[in-house]
Amino acid sequence: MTTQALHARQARGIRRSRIQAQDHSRNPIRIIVAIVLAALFAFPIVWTTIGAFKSPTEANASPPVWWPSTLTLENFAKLDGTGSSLLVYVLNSVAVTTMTVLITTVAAVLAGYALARYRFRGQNAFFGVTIGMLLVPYPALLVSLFTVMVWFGLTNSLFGLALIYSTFQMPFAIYMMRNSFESVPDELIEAAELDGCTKFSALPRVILPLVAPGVVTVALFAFLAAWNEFLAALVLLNDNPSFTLPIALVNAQNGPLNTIDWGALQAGITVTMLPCVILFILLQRYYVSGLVAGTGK
Amino acid sequence: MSHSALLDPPTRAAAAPDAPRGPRTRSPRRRRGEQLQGWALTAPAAVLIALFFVLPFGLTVWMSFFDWPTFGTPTPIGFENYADLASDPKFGEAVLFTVGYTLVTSVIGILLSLGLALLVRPRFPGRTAVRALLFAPVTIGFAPAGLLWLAMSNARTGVLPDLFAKLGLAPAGVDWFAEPTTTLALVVVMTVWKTAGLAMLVLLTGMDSIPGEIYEAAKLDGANAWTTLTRITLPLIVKPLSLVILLTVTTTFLSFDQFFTMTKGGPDGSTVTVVYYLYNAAFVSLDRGYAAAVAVVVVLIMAIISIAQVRLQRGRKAEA
Repeated sequence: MTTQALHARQARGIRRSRIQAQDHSRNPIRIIVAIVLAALFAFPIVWTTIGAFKSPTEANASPPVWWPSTLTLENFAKLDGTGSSLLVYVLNSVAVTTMTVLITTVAAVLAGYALARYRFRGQNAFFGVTIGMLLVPYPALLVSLFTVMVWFGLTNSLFGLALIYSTFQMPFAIYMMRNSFESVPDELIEAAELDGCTKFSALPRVILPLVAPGVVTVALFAFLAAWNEFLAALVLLNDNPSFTLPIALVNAQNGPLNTIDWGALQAGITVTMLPCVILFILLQRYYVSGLVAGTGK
Repeated sequence: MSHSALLDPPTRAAAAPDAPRGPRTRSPRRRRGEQLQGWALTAPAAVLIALFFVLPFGLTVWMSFFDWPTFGTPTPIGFENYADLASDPKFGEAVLFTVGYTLVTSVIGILLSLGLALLVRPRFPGRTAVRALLFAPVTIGFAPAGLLWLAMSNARTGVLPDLFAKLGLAPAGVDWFAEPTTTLALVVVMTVWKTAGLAMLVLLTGMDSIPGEIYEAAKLDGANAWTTLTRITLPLIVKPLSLVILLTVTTTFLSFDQFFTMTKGGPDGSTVTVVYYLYNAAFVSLDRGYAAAVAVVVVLIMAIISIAQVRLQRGRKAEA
């Protein structure tokens, strides 16, 4: 048996004992408590999703109807009556989110690569300002951002909103990409250079595939931020056809005669929240790796 | 290298030092090429940050010294906005309310997420699903989440008042949003529901990096669960734990969405947070200069919180 195999076997042994000591629980109380808590946390999501498919009468019934007698799409259709159609709001949100993801990813990949692999004057100042942004909460900048957007002719503009969202993604995104590029071994880049790549052309051909997990993480965080952002959209979008989903929801809530159509509201919430929940379930491990990067390990 | 020659001629020259048009030594040229490329690569991010962060940040500070109407010319008024701010009892109330709300939410949220992390740390059947469900609310935005809880707790169609009445925990037909205490309790519960999963996950990443041998040794020494928690787990997750505290405190202090969607600052203006006050000043009263002064004060408060946190952590490290 080689020493390597021995080491591997030892490592496995340690792992196994660790699992037995701490990493495994068959305690039924723990399992029951965990499942009950998980059910409690999931309940609001499930309740709202079911509510979205109730008939408008049942969705607005008092006391509430626990289980719908039929499932309909009427609530989604009623949301159309509150301004522009639901589809317009969904498309607005999709547009802002897509632009934010693209701008954030491209800008952060380029800047992260430069910070990790190039030496240039102003490098530390640039990184310092980027990280320093975390100290300034962006709600505090909204007053003047509104004025700035008027100067640039970007009020009521989904593109303008995407530029703002991308900017405030920069600290996390650049930090994440810089770390990803730094963890690529130097030898790989040198080998690429020997093969005739320049430092720059090695990026798309050789290095980018290696940092793909980091790129997905950055894109995922940008997606969730842009899809869910509320305050800037509330302040910067004033005309109904350009509303994003969260703003459209608040508008639907303040419906005609100040009555709330709870069925339509729950339908809107469902359309807004489910893409995020589903995307998270699909890309969980990227979210976690982003968190680990964020905790600075 | 031919494919990129058009994109970056300086590096091409650097990569071919024997080329006849390179009379100088290789390194300065290469350094200059590297310099230009570095700037070019950071340019998109730098332009974004300059236009949408540095510029508005500077403008906020500048505006705070002006009477800045939405239409018409701004007039400089020195520190008057700050003086007004200091003498407005409503601002003091907003700060006090936000501090109280932040303390309550953070303590409950952090204790709960620590409990959750300890609960779902070991492997058990269904652990992955349990973790995912506990985390799911984190991915929902604060505005839709606030509306979701509004829909669940309104007096007419809400499932929670109905459930509480059926279980005999609360009288039927009471509007929870009519009372400041119940209103605040609902916002706290909603915020904790939406944020506990994130804190839990950060704490789990810390707990996962503690070697199992330490626990084994503790077990051999006969340590009970409480000793293990306070003497091993907590000291070894200080870093993620302080990150969680910082994140929770700062994001909670800046709360707006959940109040805008659930309470509108009511009942009777009892739930106006600092950011809500800022929003009202800037976009309801349209007093931009005054709002800018509020914004500067908010930035200062956040800076103090962050610095205090870093100091505390350093102090603790020095002690150890």
